[in-house]
Amino acid sequence: MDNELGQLIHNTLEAESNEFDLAARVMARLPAPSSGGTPRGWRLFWVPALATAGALALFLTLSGHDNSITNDCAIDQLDVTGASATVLKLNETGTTVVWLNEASEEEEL
Amino acid sequence: MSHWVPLALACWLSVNARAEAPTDTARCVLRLIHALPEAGPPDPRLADIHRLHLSKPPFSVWRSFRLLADETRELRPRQQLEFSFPEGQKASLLYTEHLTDPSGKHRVRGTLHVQGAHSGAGTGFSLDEGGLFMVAGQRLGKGILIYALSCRTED
Repeated sequence: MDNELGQLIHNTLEAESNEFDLAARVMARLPAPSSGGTPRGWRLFWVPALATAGALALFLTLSGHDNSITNDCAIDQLDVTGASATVLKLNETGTTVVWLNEASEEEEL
Repeated sequence: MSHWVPLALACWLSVNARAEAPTDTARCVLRLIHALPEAGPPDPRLADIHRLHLSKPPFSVWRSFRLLADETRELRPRQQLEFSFPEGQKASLLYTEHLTDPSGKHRVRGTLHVQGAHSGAGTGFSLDEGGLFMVAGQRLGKGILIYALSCRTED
């Protein structure tokens, strides 16, 4: 009795599985390859190449000469004849000015 | 993956070439300006420097400014150039070197000598590239002279 029942179930499952093609259904859901498919080598070269070029362009843009001009100036040495000198740093621009204070002609006389 | 190696190497080399071999020839602009106590028409050639500097103390006590000379010269490191100006003043500019400080800021080191009728001054400076440095105060007539120097090594 048990053998007959087992055989019956086996035959039923086998019959159903014959009608159910799992592989065919999975493949049907996958995107079909394009007829003019991109070669794998193209991607291997151009993707990193474009990424590197982009990174390089970004670096050169950011690290290049700063367009915002600053006027910081260090006076390493100052030798003056015929005048006294004052080193000024202007408030707004930070520009350094060496101001020579010449004796006026009246003072010289 | 193997394509990344030469590309990364090329990138690194180009970055290092830029960082370690800056253009060292300096293009310097030396302007000689006469500040006068009398009012006068603005000099359009001084519009930028007037707006930023000459219209403000300590220059604002002068009522007009006249450009006497505007010299642009290219100098190699350790090269010195002489300037002779119409009113008899003389100047010399020694371009010592181009520096890049730890923060990446470009600077120009040099010495500017100015010689007037009554006084002279030699100033060793380290100036931000493109920035302005001035020597002022030598008397000429009723006014004073202003030397304005700016240098760049790269465009």
